[in-house]
This record gives sequence, C-alpha cells and structure tokens, in this order.
Amino acid sequence: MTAFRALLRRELWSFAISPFSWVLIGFWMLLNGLFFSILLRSADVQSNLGMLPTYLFGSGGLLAFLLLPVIPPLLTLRLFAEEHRLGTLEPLLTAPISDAAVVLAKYVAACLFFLVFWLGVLALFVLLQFYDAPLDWPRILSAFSGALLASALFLAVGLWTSSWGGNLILAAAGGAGVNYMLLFLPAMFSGGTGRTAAVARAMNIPQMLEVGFAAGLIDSYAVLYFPLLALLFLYLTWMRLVSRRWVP
Amino acid sequence: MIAKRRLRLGLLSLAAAAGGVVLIMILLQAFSRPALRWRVDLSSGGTAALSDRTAEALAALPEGSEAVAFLFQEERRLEENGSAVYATAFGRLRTLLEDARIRSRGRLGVTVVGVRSSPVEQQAQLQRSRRQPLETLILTTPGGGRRALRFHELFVTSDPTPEGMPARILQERVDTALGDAALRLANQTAPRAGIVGGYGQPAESELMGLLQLLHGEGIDPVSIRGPASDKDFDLLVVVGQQRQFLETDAQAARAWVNAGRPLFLVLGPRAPQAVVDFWNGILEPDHGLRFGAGVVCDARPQAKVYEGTNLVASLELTAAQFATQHPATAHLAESTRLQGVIFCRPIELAGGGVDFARTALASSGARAWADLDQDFAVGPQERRGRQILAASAERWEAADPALSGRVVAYGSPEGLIRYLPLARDFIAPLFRWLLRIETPMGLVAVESLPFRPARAEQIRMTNIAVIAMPGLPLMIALLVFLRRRR
Repeated sequence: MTAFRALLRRELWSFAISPFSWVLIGFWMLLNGLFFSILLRSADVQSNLGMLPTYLFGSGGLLAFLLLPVIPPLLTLRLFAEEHRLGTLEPLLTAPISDAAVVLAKYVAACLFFLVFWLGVLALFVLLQFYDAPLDWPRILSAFSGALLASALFLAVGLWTSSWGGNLILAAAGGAGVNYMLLFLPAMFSGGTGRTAAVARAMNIPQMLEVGFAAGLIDSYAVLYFPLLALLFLYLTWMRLVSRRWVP
Repeated sequence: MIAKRRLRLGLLSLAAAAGGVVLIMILLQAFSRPALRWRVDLSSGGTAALSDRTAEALAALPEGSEAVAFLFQEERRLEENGSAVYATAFGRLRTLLEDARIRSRGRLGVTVVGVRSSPVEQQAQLQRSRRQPLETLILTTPGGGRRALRFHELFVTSDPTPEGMPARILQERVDTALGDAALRLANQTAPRAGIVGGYGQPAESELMGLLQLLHGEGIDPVSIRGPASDKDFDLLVVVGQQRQFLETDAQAARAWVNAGRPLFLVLGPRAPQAVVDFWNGILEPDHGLRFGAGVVCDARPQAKVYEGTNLVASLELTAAQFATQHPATAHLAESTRLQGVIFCRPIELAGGGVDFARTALASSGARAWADLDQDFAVGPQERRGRQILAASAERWEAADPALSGRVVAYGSPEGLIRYLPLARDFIAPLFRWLLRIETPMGLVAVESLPFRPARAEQIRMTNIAVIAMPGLPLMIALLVFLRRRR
C-alpha cells in the first residue's frame, strides 16, 4: 500500500510538472471555451439553457465526439510507452511492488489529474451562474458524472495502448482509435432490429450520454458499463505487463 | 525449447485476455436486462423519466410491440425566430423513449427515425408504420394494433409572435399520451362515445376536430341517431341539438341519465326552448344543472372589445376562471394558457338532490352578462355578474363507479365545432373525467430557461472562456517549461 501511494504521488507529481500536461489542459479548455461560446450564441440555447448539457455532453457535441476520445490517450501515452522508451519500465517492474499496483497507481493518477480538465469545464458553468443564467444544476451534475465515467473508460483504454510498446505515436493514435471504435461502432449498428442491434444498443455510449446522463437520468447499467469496461482495459494492461516477462 | 515455452505462454496470455473480455461481456449483458436496472431521475421536477403508470402500461404490451418516432420538423412556425421547440421536444422524446424501451421490460422495441437516418431506413419505416403527415410517434402491436400520436398531442406550444419571439413549448404530455396508447393497445378496447346526430346536430364533417380530439384521447367516437340506438357506447354526447327527440329517444335519454350513466351535453344560445326545457327537466331535479337564457358576453376595453359589437360574445378564460378543485380543470387553473369560448349559453346551478355534487367548471369574468336581446350591450333586464359557462355534476357516492351520474353541461356548441382549438385543453379532460379515465390530463410544464445576455456580456464571457481560462494552464505550462530548463 505504501509503495502504491508512493507511486501514485510520483505519477501525480510528474503530471503536474510536465509542460505537456498543462498544454493539453490549455488546448482542452480553449476548444471547450470556443464551443461553449458558440453554443451560447445559438438561438436554441438562448431560448432554453436547459439544452446546453445535451449539446455539450450529448452526441454530436465537440466534447463527446472530438475531445473526449483523443485527449485521454494523449495524457496517458507517457505512462508506459515513455517509460518503455526511456528504459525506466524494467526497474519499475522489478521494484518491490506488484504489477497490478503499478497499473492501478498510474490509472488512478491519470484519473485524478483528469479531474483538472473537468474542473475547467465546470468553471464555464460557474461563469454562466455568475452572469445570473438560470441553470438546472442537478442535470448539469448528472451530465458531468456521465462525462467523468466516460473519461475514466477512455483513460483506461489509453493506458492499455500505452502498454503496447515504446512508440508514443502508436500509443496515442491507438488509444484514440480504440476510443472512436467504442463510440462509433455500436452507434452504427444500433439502428436495426435483432440480436446484433440489441447488443450494439447496450454498448451505445453517445446514447447513454445524451438520453441518460445529459437528460438528468442516471441508469444503473450505464453506471456499471463504464467502470466494467475500464476494468477490462486495466486487466488487459496488466496482462500485457505480465506477459512482457514471457514474451518481451 | 525456449521458443516453444514462449509460444505457450503467449497463447496463455491471449487466452486469459480473451477470457477477461468474455467475462466482462457476459456481466454487461446480464446487467443490461431491464429487470436488473434501476434509474434515478436527477432533473429538476423529476420529468426525465416516465411515470410508473406509463411504465406499467408499457410492460403490459404484447411481446414484439414497437414504437417508431419520426423526428421530422414539419411545421415551419415552430422553427421561426430561432425557436428551440423541435430541439427540445426531440431531445425529450429520445430520453422518454429510451426510458420506455428499458422499462417495458423488453416488450417494446424503439426506433427513432430522424433527418439524419438513411433514406432507405426512412422509407422503410414510413411504409411499415403507414405514417401520415404530422404523426410523430406510432405504436404498433404484433396483432395489428396501431396508435399514432401527432406532435401537438405530445407537446403544447405557443406561436411565434410578429415581434420576433420564437414559439415555445409550454407543456408536454408525452408520458400520459404514451401511457394511454399503451393501455389501449394492451387492452385492445377503448371507451366509446356515442355522438347523437339525428336531431339537427352539426354534420360529422363539422365535428371532425372533436372526433380527432376523441381519438387522440384514446376514445372511440360512434355516430348514433339517438340515445335509443342499439349501438354500444359508454358516454352519450349531445352537441347542438336543434329538434326535440322522438319519444323513444326521449325515454332512452331520460333512462340513461337516471341510471347514472355519463352525459356530455352542449346546448348553445340557438337551441330551441323546447329542447332546453326537455334537458332542464331531466337534469335539474337531481343533478342541479340547468341551461339559462341568452348569450354570455363580456366587454374587454383593454383589448378594444366594446359593448354593442358581437365580439363581446367571444370570451377569453384565464387560469382564475377555472375550478381549482375539479380533476378536469385543476391543470388549467395552474396553467398560463388562455382558453377561448365563443357564443356560449349560461349554465345555472339550481336545485338538485343532496346526493349530487355540482361544480362550476369555467366561469366568465365578474363584469359579464347574459345578453337576452342580442344587442350585445347590457340592457335593463340584464345584470352583470359572473356567468357559468360549463358545469359538472356527479353523485357523492355510487355503488357502481360507472353509474355515478357524471354529467357535463356546456353552453357553446360553436366551441366544439369551429373554435375547438381555442379550448382544446379545456374540452379534452372533460371527456376523460366523464369516462373515468382518472389520471389527470398529464400536462407537464416544460421548464424553459431562457438566457439572452446583452452583447457586452456575451463578449466578456467569450473573452473569459476563450482567452483567460485557457491562458492560465498555458501560462503554467510555460512556467514549468522554463523552470525545468533551468
């Protein structure tokens, strides 16, 4: 546990002192701020501010479709891929700490640091509140909880692709690619009828975000879906680390 | 030897990974079963989810039932001036239909067809569900049952104004409409309203709006020549009767009311006195309702409606003019939507038995009068005062709920013919109350949160969101970078 905490602290600190992390946050906030400003000027949102969470967090939004699948793998790419490239992974894996604790510490650190990204988006709503905008806060918080769960999943995917090897581009592009597949593949097949469509509907993340969380409706399945899938990718990451000993 | 071991271990790790994937998929499949799901509605007002009544009705549908939503923007007025009506409505529909799919316990398949759906999919669904223009939601059952709900049956909207205000959603009734449609499809039966048409009443073509309203409320209208008809019906509807009943029909009408069966009676100022006397003779002794004389008029100088013109016979009813305690009008007493009543005969609460409760459902303003000489001005015989436009009566207690003597008397046949859209939200619940479709009208106020910041405020917010807020982490990045270089 002490080793886990030490590793978690180390990872958090390395995020905090990495200029790349802060540039990512700046880029994230710039695009979100732009999208937010454009939305605020649209007649739809000015007529009913209740539409803002749906547009921002729901399907079709810049946040869900462009930023959310891409930014987490960029943040996590250094967690294993860079260590592999710099040759610091071997000493870490031979240190007196289990592989599972290594994976978990890196993942928890990434999740905690990603909260800073979301605090930036929350600040936009606080800004609106400052201008006396009528906000439906329970619904906004529900939308945020969906976005947090989705980002936890995408971070786990990023961690997994980062464990593939020392190639940073492969880690980032692979992570974004898998995230886009998770987003779009089920949505593509969920329109029809039959077993495939039913399975696709059960995995339709944009649908969960838009008609669930962003509408203020929290579904137990959606609450379990993201952590279970994140757990799967953490397990795959662990498997990759373990198998490195067998198949380098 | 080592290579063989590596291959074996590699395959083992692949198998373990595949096992993990399969396990998670099985778990997800299990948790996606409707029986294992619970939902929490965090929206303000708790309107993001369907009511339990509707969820139960959906769960009672036959297996293989389908709901197809056509999210097409068909009315231009709902798009003018940058209106968010369609965006809000379609968002609500998507949310509620997903809730319906889950809470129907797998009995209801939901398909959403929008402008972004492929043309092939659109065409297939249009043909399969035999969609007519303006139909937004169509429910079908494997046995051939079909219920179509139009946009205006799901959402109550205001009109855009020439001053540039966009149309708004005032209220929605998706939940109730969906629940009613499901109940009707599940039971394969609907209450029937017998509409008397043999005594100078308006032709069926004139009553088209009323017939559509009844269909929309899940009630089957049945045309009958008179109350003595051998057709089966649950509610007797008499609108604008112009001739006296033949003896058999008169007896049947009397027997119907005396048995305590429901009646919706609409007699206007042009009804012959003999007809009015006949119905007063039936309704006054027990129910305590009678049709008065004249036309209810009310001048509204602020709207340039002055005495002496027939415009005073068109009345505008605000929330304060509806009964707050009656289930059929309570929703209007809390609403901001105006209702219109045209050329209305006054109703009086007079006499009646002690076992009947009477309610003035809608009344005029306090300065109205019943115009007797058709000069549309207050004459010496005409006194100003609140006039009752519609009233109801029912037994306090009834052994059989279906025979509780529910009667609604209304003085404006015109209000059911040409001017029905002005009082739709008033009329529809009356039928539901008479037929003991006890749920309230189901109108849910849609919370609209308008926010129109001034230009200067908008620029300031943009500057903060686009320059100041992203600038802060970029500054930190620069500082960290410089420090690390040192």
